[in-house]
Amino acid sequence: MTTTLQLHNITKELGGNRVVSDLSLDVAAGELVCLLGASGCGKTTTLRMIGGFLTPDSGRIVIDDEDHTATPPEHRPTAMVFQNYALWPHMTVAQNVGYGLRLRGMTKREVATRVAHLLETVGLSHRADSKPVAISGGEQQRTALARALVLEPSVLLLDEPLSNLDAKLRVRVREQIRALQQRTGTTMVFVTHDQEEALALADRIAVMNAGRIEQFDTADAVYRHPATEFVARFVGTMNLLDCTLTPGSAKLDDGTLLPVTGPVEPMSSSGATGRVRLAIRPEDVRLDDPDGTPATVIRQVPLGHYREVVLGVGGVELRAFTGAATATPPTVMVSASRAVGYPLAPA
Amino acid sequence: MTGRRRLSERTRGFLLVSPPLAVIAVFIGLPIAFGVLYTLGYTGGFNDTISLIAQHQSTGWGIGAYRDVFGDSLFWRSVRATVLVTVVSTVLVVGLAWLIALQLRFRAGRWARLVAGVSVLPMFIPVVIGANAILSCYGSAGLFRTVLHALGWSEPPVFAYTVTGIIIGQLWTNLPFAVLMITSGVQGVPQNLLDAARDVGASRWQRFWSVLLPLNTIPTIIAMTFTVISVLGSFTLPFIVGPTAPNLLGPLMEGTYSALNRPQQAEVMSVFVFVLAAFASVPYVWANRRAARGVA
Amino acid sequence: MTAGAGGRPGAAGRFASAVFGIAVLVFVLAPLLWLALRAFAGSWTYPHLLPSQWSLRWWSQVWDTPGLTSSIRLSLIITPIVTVLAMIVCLPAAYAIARYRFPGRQLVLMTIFATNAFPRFGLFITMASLFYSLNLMDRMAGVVIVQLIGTIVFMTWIPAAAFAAIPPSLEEAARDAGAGALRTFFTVTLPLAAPSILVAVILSFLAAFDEAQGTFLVGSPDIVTMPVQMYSLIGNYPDQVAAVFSIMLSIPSVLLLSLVRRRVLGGTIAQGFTIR
Repeated sequence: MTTTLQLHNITKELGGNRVVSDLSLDVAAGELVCLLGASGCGKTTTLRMIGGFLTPDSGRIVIDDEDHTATPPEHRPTAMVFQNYALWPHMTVAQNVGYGLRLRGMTKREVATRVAHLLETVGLSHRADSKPVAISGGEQQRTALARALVLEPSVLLLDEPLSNLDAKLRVRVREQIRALQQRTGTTMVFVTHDQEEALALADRIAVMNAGRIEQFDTADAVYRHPATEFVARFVGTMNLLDCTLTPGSAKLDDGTLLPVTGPVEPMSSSGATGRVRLAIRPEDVRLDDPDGTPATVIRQVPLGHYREVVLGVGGVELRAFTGAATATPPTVMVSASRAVGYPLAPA
Repeated sequence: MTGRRRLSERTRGFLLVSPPLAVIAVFIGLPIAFGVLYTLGYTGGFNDTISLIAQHQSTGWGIGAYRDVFGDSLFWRSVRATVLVTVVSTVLVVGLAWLIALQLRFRAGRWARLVAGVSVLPMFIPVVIGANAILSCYGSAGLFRTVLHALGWSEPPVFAYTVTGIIIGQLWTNLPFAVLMITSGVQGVPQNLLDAARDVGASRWQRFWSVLLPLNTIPTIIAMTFTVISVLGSFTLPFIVGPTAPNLLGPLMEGTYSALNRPQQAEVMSVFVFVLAAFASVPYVWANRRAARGVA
Repeated sequence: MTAGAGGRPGAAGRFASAVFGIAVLVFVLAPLLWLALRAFAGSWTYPHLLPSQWSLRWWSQVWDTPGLTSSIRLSLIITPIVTVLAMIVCLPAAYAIARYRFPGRQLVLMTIFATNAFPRFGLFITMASLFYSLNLMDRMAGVVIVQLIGTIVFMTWIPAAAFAAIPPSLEEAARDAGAGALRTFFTVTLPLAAPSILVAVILSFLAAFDEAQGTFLVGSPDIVTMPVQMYSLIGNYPDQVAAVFSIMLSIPSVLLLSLVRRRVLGGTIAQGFTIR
């Protein structure tokens, strides 16, 4: 299966608000793409347009080089796993999964064989004759997945499929989805507001904000090289400091010099200096740099295999992660090993 | 502690529900019990006064009154008319209510809301007035004929004082309840369930047939049951709009009771109507039990 | 398929929906408007769509018709009595059904349903025999009872559904804050359920006000309420008089309906009928 999906300049207004704005997206064959964003950013609207439940006001949706912008969902080569699963409560698990096949005129026996096979794949054979109300959240989730997969869709769409599961189950189902995707090679688009989920699952992440894509890149790139300040704030924990950049250090507003030992992107390439908003990941804050600037420890929180330390440097707070097993001393020498700078609107 | 609280909750429950139950027992249970006894010839107890007034009654245990009624061809013609009106009006009422509900759900907007809102209006119009309005609208000088005449039909039909007129009236008076039940059910079906069916390829008809309808079995059955019972127990509408004879059982009962002064035979007809209604309630009881078990 | 991808109606669908809607509106409204028009008609002959002469004289003639004013007075006395009685009898039961678990609760619900499951007129026929024996025929008390029967379902099921919809935690919080059981009921439970109770009260009021067939059977010949008066008006008096009286009889309904229209359409009644 080598289905590609392209969105070309999609725009959609709902109730007078522009929910999706001139959005383009190019999903490669067999790729798992996450649409990541806060609620109201247009990610679900985008997914529903791909599924055909909404029609874009302008723009085109192309699946395998065929224009499907106006194809109704019942004729689209897409299948959706709905938020809250949308299982039909009056049908058993097997009937839920088999319904689409029956509509395609398959014989009862054919349907039964295919359904049984798929239920086995998702580990639900023992629940075939249960009604959705009688099974657990995780089982409902897998039923919804099986119902979508049984039609062998070209593109599988998942709308927050894990948000109703408890934390442990979420991680397990996440891995199952990933394994399934690698086995079948189905192209998938996955909507979530949970950045950890996106980072763990996706081949590429489209970070959305106010109906636009802020950055569309691999998980690593989105995390290490956030293209915009929004991405820097939204993905992971980030320190943001307004400062004046000088070669080798950042001058905070009270005059304190915070040494920056590594590259400052994207400014470093152009060798830029001046006022910036500097983004530093907590794990890039060094606490034992002899050349660093002194900082006081405001509080520290042990979080299992690492600890979070909140520091006071030059009148601002700086978060740091440290793997050290022992408590951090009250005063440390601080520097940053990497940073990303964003232009600051002149005050 | 919990044991004591349980007990008091139970007692309180019984105490609080007893007043309406007492009213029902005394003014529904008792008359029905004595009514049935009276039809079987028992003239004692609360039947003493009525049996003094009545003309032509069978006394002493027996089924003489039933023989009287069931031997009368007018009764059977009334039964036939009643069953016909009940079946046709119920089908029309539920069908129309479904169309209104579907329109409200899928053509959402001011127009659909207006149509649904207006269709509920007759619930708030006294049946007497509704009957009078139907009578004059479909009468010999009514709006219906006037419009058809204007359209070039020289002798349009008159529905006043016909069984068709009763059906029109029953549709008019019973539509609101069915609309309320079914629209509320249809509106309550999550859009996701319909989208999911669409996603796997279900056409509009298939979505209705395999998702919307099965999820609304209970409201539909409630609407059907109550329409059947309401038509079976109607008097005003057939009395005002219907023909002299054979009319529905309601007017026949009233005539037998008051004009002919044969309460025993009238009560035989009541019992007969109760039995019909009991059959009509079977699906409702079944549906409610299913709902109580959470099968939905 | 006339629908686009978003499920929006196409032109054909919109046309069908418009035609259907107009048909429903005409079916429901035309008889009422036709009747209302009649109340202002001086002379009106078939097949003219409108009266050839307009007149208001029927409105004054109504007051001269014997028995009409007394029927209005009777209706205005009896209906409030029935409504208040229904509240006293049914509201506590509604609360118990919603809140207490006691054996036979299901049976109570079914029994109350059964009051509606007996075809009305059949029931009235059997009631009349009992009323003869209890000397309730042609008495106000008998009419009150007949009308009360018709309000029980509204007054128990709808408030019960409303009480059941109030999370018990809200009551518990009030008790926790030191309010006694009665105080909690009157300051927390009742205000929250009030809108639905209002619907129940209005439906009961109208059910009693509009009850004609039982009142006719049990109250005749002396206790003649407004709707019963209609029986004799129709056919025995000029159509216009019946039309005028119909309008007068509809006034309470229309006024009260406009008060609760949104709640009724919002499913308060439907909710009441699916309580378990």
